[in-house]
Amino acid sequence: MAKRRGIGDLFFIKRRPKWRIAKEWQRPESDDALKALIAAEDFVTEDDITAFIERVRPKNENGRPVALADFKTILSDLAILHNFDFIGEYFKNNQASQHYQNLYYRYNWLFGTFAVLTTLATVLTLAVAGSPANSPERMSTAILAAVMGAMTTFLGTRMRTVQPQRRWYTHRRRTEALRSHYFLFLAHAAPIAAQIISARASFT
Amino acid sequence: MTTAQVESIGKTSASTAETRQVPAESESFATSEHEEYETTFIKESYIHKRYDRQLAWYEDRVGEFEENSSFTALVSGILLAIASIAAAFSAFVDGGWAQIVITVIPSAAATLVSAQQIYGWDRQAGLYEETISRLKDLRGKLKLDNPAVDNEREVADAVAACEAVFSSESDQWGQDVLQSPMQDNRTVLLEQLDDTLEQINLPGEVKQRIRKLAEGSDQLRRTPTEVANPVEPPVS
Repeated sequence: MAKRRGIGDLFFIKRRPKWRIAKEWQRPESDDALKALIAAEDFVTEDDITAFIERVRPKNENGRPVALADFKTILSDLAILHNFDFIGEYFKNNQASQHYQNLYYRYNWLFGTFAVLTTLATVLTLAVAGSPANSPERMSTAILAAVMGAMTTFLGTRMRTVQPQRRWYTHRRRTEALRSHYFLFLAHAAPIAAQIISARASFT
Repeated sequence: MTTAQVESIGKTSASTAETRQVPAESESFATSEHEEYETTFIKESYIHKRYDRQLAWYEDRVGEFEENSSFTALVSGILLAIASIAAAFSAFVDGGWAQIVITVIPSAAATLVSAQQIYGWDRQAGLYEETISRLKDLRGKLKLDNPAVDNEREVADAVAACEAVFSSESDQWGQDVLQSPMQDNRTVLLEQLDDTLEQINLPGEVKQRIRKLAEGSDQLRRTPTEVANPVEPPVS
């Protein structure tokens, strides 16, 4: 069923940029908090295996019920995948991606706002063009137009130098690639299945 | 994990669509390392945690993007219509305020038009719809819902095939937004804006500023090299 949408789904409400999103990811202090974070990102956890055992009550080839410890291969793979080198890289890239995405939108929102204000200031300047050269209205509109123009130019320059869109794409792609490889690894699927053996060898 | 390793992962996922076909049997790992119950667990987890959630995410985004695109087109159209009417009446109205109003309205409309470029709703919605369709096709073909499909190789191949679709999508979206030509609602709105600007009695400089704003800040910010070669490299 199609989701009911309201005004809250419009971009200027739902997708408006936040003032700040941290660039660096901070590892949670406790392992439990990290596990909760891993679960929240829809990765597979030991709790999922336990829930599966309780629900399905699987049996081994001898007909005996299996326990968590019998999921040897999966537990071994999860130990590799949830090793900080891998999962930490995922969270770092995810955080950086959100930071640069927000920065990109923030710059664009400010750029658009200042561009409209610059246009308005330009019209005001032209509207008072008939006043004497040193009149307050001519001075103030000229200053306003100059400030707005300078801000627009400054933001344009920042966008060119910081390149938030390019960085957002790069980090987002890495994040998605890591998520993809997580599931490929877990299922022992091509194209990275061959890497599983070497990863295990270097991990143990 | 070193940066080089992450880079190589990015490159793997950036392979072309042709290389991302469902793997041939010989390519599959299929070491029979998993016990049967483990394979069942992997299959269920994959469907629940990856396939279904990703599919729901795409469907939600398509709805949201279409809503935003329609909203922007409607409001921009209304603003441009008001600007046209105001322009027609401006000949009978004396004073700077009328001039200001008929300048600000097209500027506001132009800002909305440029939001289409910044957020890329039409392109993104199209891309996600294609991905949804491919994923749904795969679900049938790979018989993901069939409890009988619990062979390790079959499950591994199904996972690889679905991941190929996800990778294909994530490879494209960045490129699409970067090299997106003006089109869909945006082209129509820009043409409307041009017509309105023609009618309005404004200094050329102001008209040019409004037009540039509507063209989208992306285009203005790109270097000549980027404009000539707009394809974003996957991962440098």
